Amino acid sequence: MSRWRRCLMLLCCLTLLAVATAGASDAPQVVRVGAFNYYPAIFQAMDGTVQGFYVDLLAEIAVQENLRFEYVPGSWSEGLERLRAGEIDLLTSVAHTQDRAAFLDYGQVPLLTVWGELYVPQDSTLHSIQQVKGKRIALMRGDFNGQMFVELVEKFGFQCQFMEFADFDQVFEAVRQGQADGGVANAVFGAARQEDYGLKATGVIFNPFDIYFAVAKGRHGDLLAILDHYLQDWRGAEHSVYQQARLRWSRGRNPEAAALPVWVLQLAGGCGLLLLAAAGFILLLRRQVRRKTAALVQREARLRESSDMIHLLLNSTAEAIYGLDPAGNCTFCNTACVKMLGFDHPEQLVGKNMHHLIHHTHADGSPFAVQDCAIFKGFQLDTAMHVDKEVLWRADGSSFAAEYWSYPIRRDGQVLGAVVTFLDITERKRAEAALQQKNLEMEHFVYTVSHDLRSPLVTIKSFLGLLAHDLAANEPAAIAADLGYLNAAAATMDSLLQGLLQLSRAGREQAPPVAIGWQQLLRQSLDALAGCLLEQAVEVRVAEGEILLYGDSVRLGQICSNLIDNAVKYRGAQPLLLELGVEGQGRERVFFVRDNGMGIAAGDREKIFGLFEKLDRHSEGSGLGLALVKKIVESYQGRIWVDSAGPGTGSCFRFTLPQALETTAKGE
Amino acid sequence: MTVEPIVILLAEDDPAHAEIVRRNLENSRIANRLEHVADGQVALDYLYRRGAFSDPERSPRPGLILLDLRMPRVDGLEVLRAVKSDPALARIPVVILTTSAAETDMARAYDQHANSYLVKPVDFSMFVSLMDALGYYWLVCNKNPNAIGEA
Repeated sequence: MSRWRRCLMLLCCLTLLAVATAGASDAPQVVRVGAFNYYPAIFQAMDGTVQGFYVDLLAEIAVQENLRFEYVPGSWSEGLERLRAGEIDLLTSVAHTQDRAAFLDYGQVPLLTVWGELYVPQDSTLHSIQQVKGKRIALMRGDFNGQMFVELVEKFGFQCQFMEFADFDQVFEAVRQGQADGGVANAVFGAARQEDYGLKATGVIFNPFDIYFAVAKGRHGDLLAILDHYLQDWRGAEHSVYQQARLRWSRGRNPEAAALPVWVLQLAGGCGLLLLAAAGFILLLRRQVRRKTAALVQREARLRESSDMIHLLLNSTAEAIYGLDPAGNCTFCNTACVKMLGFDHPEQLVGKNMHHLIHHTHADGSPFAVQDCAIFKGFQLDTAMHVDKEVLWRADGSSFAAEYWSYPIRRDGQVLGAVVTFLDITERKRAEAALQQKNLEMEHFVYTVSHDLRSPLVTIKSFLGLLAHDLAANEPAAIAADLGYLNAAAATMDSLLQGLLQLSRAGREQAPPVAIGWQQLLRQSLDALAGCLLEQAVEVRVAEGEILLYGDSVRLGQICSNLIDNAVKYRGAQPLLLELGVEGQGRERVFFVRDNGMGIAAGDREKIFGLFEKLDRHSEGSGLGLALVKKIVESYQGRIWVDSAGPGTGSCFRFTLPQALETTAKGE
Repeated sequence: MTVEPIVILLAEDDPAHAEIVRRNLENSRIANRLEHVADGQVALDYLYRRGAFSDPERSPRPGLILLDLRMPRVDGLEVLRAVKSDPALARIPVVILTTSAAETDMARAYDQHANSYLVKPVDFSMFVSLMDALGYYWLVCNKNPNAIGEA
């Protein structure tokens, strides 16, 4: 409020300044104005200047009309005298009386509508006209209000002591100091200054009247006309110079506003009550909002907690998990899923069609139509699916054997998507294949063993029968032959059982691994067979070069002794030459045992390593020697094969032992 | 026209088993000539009259072949295949006589058109009756075009 008021004042001042400057060329007409203390309409300030509401109005008019108002200070009655004497041209705030009309001309438009009021100290109980009986009442000398009050008291027939002062300020000062019990003043002045003097209005109001500009009779009629013109314009218009000046000088305590109607007060009271009710309502609302907010925050925290828990569970499980929408696009995936498929971020999967991304091709490279996909069928049939015979494809284009489960997600009987979990079962498939291979071997083993053990058993049982027959017939030669067959069959069985025992042990690590030289192994094997080698006049050539092996010395020794023994068994007619040595370097070193014996036909080169395989029925041995050697070599991740140009050309057994060499390197 | 007694070719690598077969046949009073060969290679040499078997008098065409399966060099199945795929030999009845009771062996033998498959019994008396039955059936009851009039 005060801001825009100040702005307007500033605007007025600027306008005044502009007009004043513009009109500076013509010398303004001087109007002398009688000034008296009638705060806030017109009064002499501490610095001696005359200020007030009227002064502001006249200043505005002066600018507009190229006038200059000069103020002549003095009391109200002095002002009247000076106007009568022609010492001044204009007097303000003049009420209409018949006496004055004799020597004054009044303006047509009232300057103010005012009334008189009785003011008393704030602690006074005086509030009605009856109570002024016998009281001391201060008045302004020559004041129309004071005159009216005296008449009013006289009409009531009361006796009062009246005291006269020069202006309203002195009247109020007298009341403040206790010289008078009450003071009469113009309500405009009273409203503006009552608080300054510690006084209050009594509500004893009398004789509202208009006050006007007045000039000496017969003179300055043109001035009155100008003043009337401005007052006419200003009084009715809001925000006019008149209204603004009035507001400013009454300090907001407009006596017209002070006498507010009751309904305004009631309305204000009602508004107050409404405001209170609204405030209460707002408080209540705010409490409700706070409570709801707290509940929401708590619910959100619980949701976040459960969502965090689901995330934690999803991402800490070894199983890969992803979700699908009805179109087959990925809706979410866990860490295991991203990792297993060789991606870096879930974003690389989310939104993608998973069949086209990871399930597009069969293991054999043929395209995998989505119509044949179990997950897709699961959608259509609204059923769970389990598959473990397909492959999934990684980001880098490689594939892996996978086992997957697909579960449809339903809501209100409608399939909304599916959750797919899968595992990389490469290892399991490999183990299954290995197990299958082992089972085949075992089956073959059992078959072979049962066959080959059965054979000597048939011999034994049959010859026992024949023996009984021959004993009955008393044929000594036949009996001796029967016993010979029985003996041989029993020896064969013994040999078979020994061989089987060795074979079953060969697959398992027996002694803790030790370091042993290749030359030492050969020496031990040759020593063990020395008698046989000597008897057969075998020439043995061992190539130089020591290699350290790390493993079970007995098993490694069995490789050498079985190969040497084999060479002696299948030596043929010519004197046997045995060459032992190593070829190549590093992990791929190849050990060899070469002979100039019977040699082996191309078709038999694989077969000889099988169980109970003997190329010559009449040769010694169980037919398990080479099977045993093969098993030991394979237990060191090695392989064994035989080279021969064919029967009669000799043969060369070669084998590798990478693990025995590798562990050596580590052990050294 | 006199009927020549049927010659039996026994291919058996185990000499003990060959002896058992020979003696059981003798005891069953089957006096037919028994030619024993120790492996599949020798059996084929005999059938094709190679080397030592070139004299048809000394090595007559057999009317029955008793064939062991597991033999060195050339095993029984290879001999069977050779016999059954040669029109000159295909009509000779081939009886597999083995210790193997494995179904795979039986299947393979029949696939190669073996005429019979017999498992050597462990029990002696069973072996005896088997040889009786075998002799009676194949040498007495069974009629074979090749058994007639080969000179």
